[in-house]
Amino acid sequence: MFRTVFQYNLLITLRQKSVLFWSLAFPLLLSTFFSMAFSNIYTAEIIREPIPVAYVAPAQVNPLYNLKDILGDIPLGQDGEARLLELHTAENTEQARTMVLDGQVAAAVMDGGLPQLMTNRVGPQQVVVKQVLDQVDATKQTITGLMRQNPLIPVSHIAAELNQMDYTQTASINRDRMTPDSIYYFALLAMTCLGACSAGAMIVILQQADKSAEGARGAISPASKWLRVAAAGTASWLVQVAMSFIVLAYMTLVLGKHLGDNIPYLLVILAVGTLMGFLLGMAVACMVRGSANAILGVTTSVYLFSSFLTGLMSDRVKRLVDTSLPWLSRINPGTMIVDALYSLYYYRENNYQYLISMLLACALFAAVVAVTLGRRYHDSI
Amino acid sequence: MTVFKAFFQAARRNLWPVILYIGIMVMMSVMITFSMGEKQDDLVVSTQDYRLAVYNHDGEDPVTRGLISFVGDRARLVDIGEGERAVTDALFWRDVDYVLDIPQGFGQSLLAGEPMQLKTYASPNDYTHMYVDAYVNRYLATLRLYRERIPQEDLAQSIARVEGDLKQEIPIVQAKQAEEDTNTTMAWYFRYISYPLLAAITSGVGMVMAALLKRNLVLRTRVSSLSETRRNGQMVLAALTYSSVIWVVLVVVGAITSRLSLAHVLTPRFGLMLLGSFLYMLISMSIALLACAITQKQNVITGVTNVVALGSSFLGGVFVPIEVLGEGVVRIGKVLPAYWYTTAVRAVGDAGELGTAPLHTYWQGMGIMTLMLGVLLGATLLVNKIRRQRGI
Amino acid sequence: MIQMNGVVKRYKELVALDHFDLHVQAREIYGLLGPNGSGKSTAINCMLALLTIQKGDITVFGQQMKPTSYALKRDIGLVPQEVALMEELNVQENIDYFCGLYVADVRKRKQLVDEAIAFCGLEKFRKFLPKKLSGGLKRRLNIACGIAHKPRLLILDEPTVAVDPQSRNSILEGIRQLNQHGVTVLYTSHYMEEVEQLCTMITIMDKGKAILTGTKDELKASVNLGDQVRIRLVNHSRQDVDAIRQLPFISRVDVQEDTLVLDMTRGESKVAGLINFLEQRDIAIGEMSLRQPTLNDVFLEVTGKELRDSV
Repeated sequence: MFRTVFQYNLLITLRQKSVLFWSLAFPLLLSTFFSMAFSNIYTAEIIREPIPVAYVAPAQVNPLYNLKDILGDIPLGQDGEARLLELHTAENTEQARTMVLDGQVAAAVMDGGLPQLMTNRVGPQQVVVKQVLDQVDATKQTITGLMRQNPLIPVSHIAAELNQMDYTQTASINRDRMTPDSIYYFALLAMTCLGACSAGAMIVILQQADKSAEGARGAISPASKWLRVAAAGTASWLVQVAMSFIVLAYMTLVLGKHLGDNIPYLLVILAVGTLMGFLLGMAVACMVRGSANAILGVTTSVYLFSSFLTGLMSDRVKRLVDTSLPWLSRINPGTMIVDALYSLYYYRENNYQYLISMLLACALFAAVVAVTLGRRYHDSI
Repeated sequence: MTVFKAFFQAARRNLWPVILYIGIMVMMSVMITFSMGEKQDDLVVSTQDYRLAVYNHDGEDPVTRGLISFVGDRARLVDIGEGERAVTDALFWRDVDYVLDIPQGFGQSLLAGEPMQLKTYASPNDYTHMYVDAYVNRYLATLRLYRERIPQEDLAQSIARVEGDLKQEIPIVQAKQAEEDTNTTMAWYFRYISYPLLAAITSGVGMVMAALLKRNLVLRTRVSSLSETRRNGQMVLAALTYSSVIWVVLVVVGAITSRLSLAHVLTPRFGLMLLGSFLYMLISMSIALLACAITQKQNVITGVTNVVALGSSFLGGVFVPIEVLGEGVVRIGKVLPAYWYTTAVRAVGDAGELGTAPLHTYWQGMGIMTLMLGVLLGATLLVNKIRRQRGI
Repeated sequence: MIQMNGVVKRYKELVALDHFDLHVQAREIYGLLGPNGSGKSTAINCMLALLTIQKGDITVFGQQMKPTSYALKRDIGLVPQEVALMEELNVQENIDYFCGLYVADVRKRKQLVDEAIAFCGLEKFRKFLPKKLSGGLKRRLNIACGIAHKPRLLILDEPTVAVDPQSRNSILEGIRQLNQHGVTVLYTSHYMEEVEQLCTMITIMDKGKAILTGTKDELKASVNLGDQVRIRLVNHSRQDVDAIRQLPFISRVDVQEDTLVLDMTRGESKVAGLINFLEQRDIAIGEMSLRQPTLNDVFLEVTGKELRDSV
């Protein structure tokens, strides 16, 4: 009997092509966009185009030190072809202000004794411009200091020396060849696992006499409620797991994204994560009283909010939650899956504690299902 | 107005899930705005709040101590314990943003002219570490230069020189005039409102239309004395009313959480952002109508909602700044209304004065969105016509 | 087979079943009639332990019916009013799936499924999905899913709704055959002629109570209904109509243009008496027809002719 219910529910799920399509479409599309968007981001090449900057000349030009020439000479990137700053001359401060406020330039440099930077907001471009100005000014201080000591010191290459030295080496805490943008892919995988909650909710809906006629037919059969739920649930969950594996395969094989060498453990996390999402959906469906649409609406809301807290839409939200509401972060199912996946990036050995947390959460959700569904021997129609 | 009333009767049946959904969207908008939009007016470029841990294996070497003192003045030093595991744990749990590992003998190697490498660790999606790397490198490069060029000086003097050279920071001046008091949080809120607006409207309208567009009901109304035009008109009016309510709720919540004053509301800037969000609301509604014209299955509409709302928000630069997206992605994003909405709202939200350039960008975005609205509505009418001709 | 004694089912203030009694014997085709909202479906759901009851007891096959009475459920088949099919499975798969909830043995089940398909005339539609089937075929499939496992007790809740006459005839014939093979049937319907043709015992219920129980003849006999005569008179006057009204064996006269509809009192046929009376008054008879009381008449007499708000 278990086998029959299992087989047919598997068939039913696999034949719901439009549902499967749209469930897969989101993670596949988004991972494709990630692949296009984030291919270079980990190399910190955020600035890819010259930054437009207004320049206001000082009242008196210093023949020994021409800030404009210095700023205009800074290369963009390694090849040195393009220039980092695209300078636009402004007659005076007011004109420069207008250019900034109009958005024509990212910032304005008012040259003088101590140059000033004028802008109306702080973004990546403004940070880079300030950094450049600070360094140029520091170089000027250094050269001045050296010349005061010894006017005959050759200073022509000092700026280049100061800028070329590289004493720091960014070390990867990741043991494999994973790049930092892997984090986004892991978050997407977590969202895919969590998306199984809708399927879990549907199983509960379809097996209850008061929610569907098929449920009523099943309820009066000699197949117990637990058998039907378990068999149908297993079939549906396996399809969800397969979908998460398909997404992973697409990321690694089609997009060529390296997500670590420990693929077996990653697959285990996905399977358990999907199970957790599935059971979460079942638990929500058991606790919510109302029509099938109402149940699905609540489940979708829970899924979206949980995904949101994982930081997929904004990493700063995850930081905000981690720092201000750490308890929320701990109990959020989405965060559990994300942390389990992130641990693959951060840690050199398998961190089973996250897997255990997820399994405990699965047990909790299963208990909720058992208690609430178990009490409904007498379904209310 | 039978069809109009029927829309809301169907909506009432799903009232609680819709309210919950909208509530979650509102919460998400508020959280995302507060996490991103704060302190934008402060024009602060500093790493004072950046948590930095130093692993010093070089003991009391003066070069190393000088470096630690230097970074300690610019960031917040934290203690994360010992060992590689401690580093990983601290980064994973975000107890620290940056770890600087100074190997034994580093100070001497620098002075000897064969400097060892300092290992640095940071979270994968953190970019502030580049700034810290820059000033660490600058400190060490400057110190080494002074030791080479002025070897007769003692080390303490060289360190003092370096600190003097790097102490000065270029001041940042606010370009906006004092009277141009803009509420930046509200500007950010308008930017992020596009996702919850699209998600809540497509989901809510979809849920109701799935009930109203059941085949038997459609056939029954087709043979009634109510013309197709009037029926569609009532349906659109109902969807518009519903969408407008959601829009008003989101705008009001944004105004309250941004502590918007009447002075902010009665500005052209606010008016333009409001208009932009209204147009985007219309577009969201038309996307919902098109999705419902194509399919009436509730679970398919949910899937479509996720793909369209989240996908277009990512591509449109809502969640990830447009500057950070690759060229290819931006090109794709330009076919989406979310991109033009974000661009238009940013242009007027970020601009100090509403000069020609920002207004040009704004109206360009609005124009393109209006065209897209026309296309979406036209597509909906076409799909409905085809369905009617096929008797489905 | 089924015993429901003094069953009370409440939904907050609404009493859906009010000390309801039902006794179905083995091998009967038992009809359960009632207006909309009378409690028919509630009675069935309580009987199948899908609903709790506040008072009374329900036994099926002599045993207390509970949600966990799996042994009892094995011998019960349900054909619900709402068509309950899996849209993604074809005809054969649907029957196999629902039969699979009762019969584990694959080979035996295959045989049962084939028999159910043949019984319901669905051979040509084995591989069809439900969306491709007409309303009548869906109903037949709905029935097939309920009978495939060869239950001893079959409950059909308005199985012929929206079904064409040929399909309906086929369904009714099928039910008769099942009954002949020993299946006890509980049948609810609004189509009185079906119940009249099919059922050996009938209960009419209203407002949660069993109003009348008996065979169709017993039901007709229990209400004061005689034959009904429709007569078109050629030449008659108002006085003639009044005189007819006064006849002792006429309980009611309804004038519809030039036709009189006369309800006779119960008892032996009074038609001869009527004809004699008309001849005496020299009233020529244009047309005349006789109709014996139907179950529909009994139903309306017992439950009233006012429209009901369904619950």
